[in-house]
Amino acid sequence: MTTAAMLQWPALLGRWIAGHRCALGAFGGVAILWWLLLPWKSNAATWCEGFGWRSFYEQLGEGWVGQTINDSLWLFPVIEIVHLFGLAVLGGSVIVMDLRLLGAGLRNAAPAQVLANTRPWFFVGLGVMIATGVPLFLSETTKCCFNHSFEVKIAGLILAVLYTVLVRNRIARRDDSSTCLMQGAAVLSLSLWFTVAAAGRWIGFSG
Amino acid sequence: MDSRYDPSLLHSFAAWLDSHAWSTALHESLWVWPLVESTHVLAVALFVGVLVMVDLRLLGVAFKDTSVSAMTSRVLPWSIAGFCIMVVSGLLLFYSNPVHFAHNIWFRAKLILLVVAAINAWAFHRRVSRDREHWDSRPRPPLSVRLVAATSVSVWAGVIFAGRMIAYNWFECGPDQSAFIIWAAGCAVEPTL
Repeated sequence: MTTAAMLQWPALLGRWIAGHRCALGAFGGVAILWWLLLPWKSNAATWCEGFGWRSFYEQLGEGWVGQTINDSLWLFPVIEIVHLFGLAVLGGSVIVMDLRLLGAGLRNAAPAQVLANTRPWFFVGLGVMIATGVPLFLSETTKCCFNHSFEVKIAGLILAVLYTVLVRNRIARRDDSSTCLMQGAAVLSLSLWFTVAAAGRWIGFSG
Repeated sequence: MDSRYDPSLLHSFAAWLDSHAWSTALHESLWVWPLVESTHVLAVALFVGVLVMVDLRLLGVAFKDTSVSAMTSRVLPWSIAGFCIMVVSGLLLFYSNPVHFAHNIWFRAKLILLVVAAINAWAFHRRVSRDREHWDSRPRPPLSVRLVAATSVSVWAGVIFAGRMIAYNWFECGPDQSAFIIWAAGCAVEPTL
């Protein structure tokens, strides 16, 4: 590499930052939000006991689905593994679409075309995750009732599904969406799904 | 040396790693271990998730209007980035408890499956580089390509299966295990009294 070419890196970096200002701005906003919300803990235990949710959760867990899983040694891990397969399919479809909105990945195809290809797999992944997530929940309802990560995960999941279907997919489908809007929409989508997945994993770590 | 395990080259290497203070520190840490483990799990979405999208294209089920070369040159690198995260976080997880993992049958099964996946990836690149230009834009690639893609999806599903099962200790070396587990996990054979 010549000296002249090496000296171009500040200009290249500057151009990259200018070209991705909306993505970087959205990422900064999400990072601040995460930083502010991370130490916040609802008192899950008070909610669970105080509003009389506990007996309702316990009732749910006493149904045959929860009992069958608890009586079996293999069922819980196997359902967990299928839950992970769902994570892969859902995550893969979300990432490929969001990369396109960020101007990476399949950037030679129109966003609407990428959406048409990823959308069915988004619903396949989501379907597998819900079909396995509900039984996992039913096998440990009392734990979930007291679990702050579970609250965050469910709240994040509802937000993420609504946002993806009602906002991001519409932005991807329109052919007049600005680069800035597409970048912000992609960062928000990745952040929401990351939060759902991370909080989901944390259910197992937090008591 | 733990008397539950048969000494072997793998065992002595794991025992040497286990003697590191950093290994113990990682194993006992309140936050770092869960964060590394979560990174390993969440990177599945990037690595396997994006790879599955490429494999679905090769199977002729998804992205039929997108060329195979667009998928392998523009999308596959993101999966490889995910693979790098998996390897780094995975090595750290192994380092946190080496002797335990080295004698875990699921961990051993996972390593074998990783070798199978590597051979399949090599077969894929050989097969694709032969005559891709003839079917690059065809919605349904040739049978041999579809077979390689199906193998890829199945083997990686197997890796996830074995990887998740590592956490369950039903087959830990001990007096109650069957002869098969004692052999497969490299347990020391119990002396008959």
